[in-house]
Amino acid sequence: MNQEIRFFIRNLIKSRRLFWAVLLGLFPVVITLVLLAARPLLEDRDIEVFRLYPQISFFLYLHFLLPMTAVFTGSAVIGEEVEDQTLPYLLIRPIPKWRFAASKILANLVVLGCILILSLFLCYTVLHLPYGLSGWLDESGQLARSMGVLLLGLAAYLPLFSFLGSLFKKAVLGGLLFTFGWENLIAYLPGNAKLLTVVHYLHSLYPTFFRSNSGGILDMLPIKITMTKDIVAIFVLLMISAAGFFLTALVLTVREYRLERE
Amino acid sequence: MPVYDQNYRPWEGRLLEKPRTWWVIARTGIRLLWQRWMIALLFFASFPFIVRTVQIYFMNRVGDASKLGDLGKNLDIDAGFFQGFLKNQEFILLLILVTAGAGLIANDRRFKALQIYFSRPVSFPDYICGKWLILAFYGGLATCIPALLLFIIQWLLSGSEAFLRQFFWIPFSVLGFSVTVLLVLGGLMLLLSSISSARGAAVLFFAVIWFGEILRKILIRIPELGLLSLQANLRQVGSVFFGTERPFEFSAVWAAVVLAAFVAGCILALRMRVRPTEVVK
Amino acid sequence: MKVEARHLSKWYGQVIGVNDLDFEIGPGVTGFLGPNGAGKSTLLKLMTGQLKPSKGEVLVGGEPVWNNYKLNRNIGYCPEQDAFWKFLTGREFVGSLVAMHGFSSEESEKRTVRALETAGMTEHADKKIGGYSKGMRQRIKLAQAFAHDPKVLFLDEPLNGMDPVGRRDTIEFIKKAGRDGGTVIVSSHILHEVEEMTDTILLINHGRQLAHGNIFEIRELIDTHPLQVTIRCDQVNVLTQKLLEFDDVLSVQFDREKGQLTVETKKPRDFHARLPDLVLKHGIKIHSLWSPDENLEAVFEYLVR
Repeated sequence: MNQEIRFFIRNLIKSRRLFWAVLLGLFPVVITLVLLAARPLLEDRDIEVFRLYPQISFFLYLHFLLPMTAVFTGSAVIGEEVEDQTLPYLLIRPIPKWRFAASKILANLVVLGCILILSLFLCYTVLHLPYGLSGWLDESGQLARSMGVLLLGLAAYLPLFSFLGSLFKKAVLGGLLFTFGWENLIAYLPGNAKLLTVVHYLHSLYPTFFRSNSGGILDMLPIKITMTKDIVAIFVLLMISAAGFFLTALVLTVREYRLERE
Repeated sequence: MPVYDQNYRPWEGRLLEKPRTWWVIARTGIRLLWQRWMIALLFFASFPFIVRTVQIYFMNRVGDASKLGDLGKNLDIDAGFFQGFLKNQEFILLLILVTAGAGLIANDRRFKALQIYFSRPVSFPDYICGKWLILAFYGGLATCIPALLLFIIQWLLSGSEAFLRQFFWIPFSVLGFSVTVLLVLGGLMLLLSSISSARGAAVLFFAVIWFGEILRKILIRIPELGLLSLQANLRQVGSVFFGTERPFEFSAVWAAVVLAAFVAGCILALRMRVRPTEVVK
Repeated sequence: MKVEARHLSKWYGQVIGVNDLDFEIGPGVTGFLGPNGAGKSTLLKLMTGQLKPSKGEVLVGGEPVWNNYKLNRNIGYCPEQDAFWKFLTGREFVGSLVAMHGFSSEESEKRTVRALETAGMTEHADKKIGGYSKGMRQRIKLAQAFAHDPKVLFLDEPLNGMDPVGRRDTIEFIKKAGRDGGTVIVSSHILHEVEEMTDTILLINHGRQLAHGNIFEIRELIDTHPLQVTIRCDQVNVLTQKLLEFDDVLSVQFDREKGQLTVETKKPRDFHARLPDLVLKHGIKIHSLWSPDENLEAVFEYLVR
């Protein structure tokens, strides 16, 4: 499996997708730098720069970068090889088909995970620059937790969208509909429908300042949303991830791909 | 039995002095995109229309909205009703534009079709106009067409000329606002399609729209930052078209300037990206 | 290694890709011939396990191909599509695909270098595939197909877009692979290319198998189809006269200036058996004898008509 993962990591690093992923990853950092530069102006408006970190990490990372990168790359895991007609080169090797699917998802997880984590780390560090090392350390636990949740989110979303990509040509559309339509709508509704989203479990795990009764973002909502216990949320996310891996591998194994003629 | 000449015969008829190539591009694109996914999206896009039609029927039966108290305020058929309908269609419009537009230029570049286009009497404006019309057609099916139909339904059901006298300008507002939305979002979609693959363009389209909106939400205490959000700008301009209360605290004029500059930027960038030949490095 | 198709059919909904094919291919070069859309590529995809047969089976070395990844150790495939990871260099492309066969990194490297050399791509190995010419892309595609020394090599239109030198080299390579005991299956719709590589063909049209075997044997089997034989000799008049005495000779056209005649016979085997006696008996000196009908084009045209 080593060989395949290396191959896909190299492909990812050399492809234009990495350029776009890095560009997306850099956006929040640039924004943070701009905010830091505009600190006096913000403070005039009663905004403390480092107090913006929860919003930035919640909105920009959990609700923007994570789903964007996951939809973009997840739907391409199999879809791209079919569209670019490079799949035969892989399927003709003495390697079970499921290993290609698993290796490519893992390769994407590693590379994109690194970009997300590094970006969040930079963003956190930049925002805490004015407050020195102690300021940085004060909330570093929250940073570590956010990083873990982002990785778990990526591990759940990527195989899920890979599965979509192995089935449908328009998987990107399905992914965008799911993340920006379904999840945006359902995750903030009371009742149990939110259990059918990935983002609900990520919300449940996100650092405490997002939770109810702690002055977090959820307190701003007009309705009370109950969270899932940490251990259950982690379990469900891992299950979603495993199911995504399994289904992608299964589809690749049993399905024939008819490549379009150029 | 007649014997036909099998040789090449040049066209001997009269050619149009100014061929409407943009129309050929648009017509072909519209036909090619009329597929399962698009039909499904348009089907979903029709749900709010049905709900609003029921609302119109209900309100015309009730007669006076004030009988319903606070509820009646939200159900009243006025300019806000049409603006609200177009706002509700935003998400499905984004999906339609992604489905129709992500591959419009990206696939032409991928299959080297730009060379074929530009080896004919097709100019850059023809090409972009044709492509934009495809987006406008499908976007219009989800926005201005149902909105105009709602207007007609309301007029037919109201049974008096009072509604028409009071709101005769609404069809123009619907058209004006829909064209503005389609110019901005269509321009963005075409630009992204010209710089990335179809998949990349789809994701980047959402990224650009969401990013500005997220930034606005993070720095909500600085209302001027709403100018960075395409959605916020469009809503602000929309309120001018429909004569409703401004949803944001920044100037609607500035919002219009930002949108105009954005469209101009898209056209300029497209001018640089859409070329018949590409140098492979 | 033997490749077999047993009552193999593949259909896509209402469309038939290949229809009840039954054949066995042994070592050496075999050409899959057929017009565009005949089903050659579908057949190759079925034989390489990319498609699942709708009916029947494909066996390579006695084992079914579909979802039998271990068998791929013995299979090399050069697809028809001009598709690549264009951001990779030729060396990375071949190297990484070879490495997936389980070779050590040194061995993969060695095989990559050798394959690039054989394909004539050493000079361009470190350039990105995106910048390659069509011919170079064909060569690099071929290199990945044989770099792991497969026992069976499937080549789908391998000469497409190659310049004459590339064609010559590739044809030589294919012939050598066949001579060395490998089973090489080449699909093409260009007859003279296949003719240069092999005498063994499988002719398909509309997904059906039209003929399989040696080109000359196939020609002989078509004995209802008249064969043309052109003979250059010193006594054109005499030979023309004598040949016309036989019932199977349909026509003779002669050109006295060139000293050449063209006979059309409906019984080629009898004609060939009779001719030596005839010329010996009448003291006719034959300078050359050939059949314009015996080339692949004639067989092809006749069979797909």
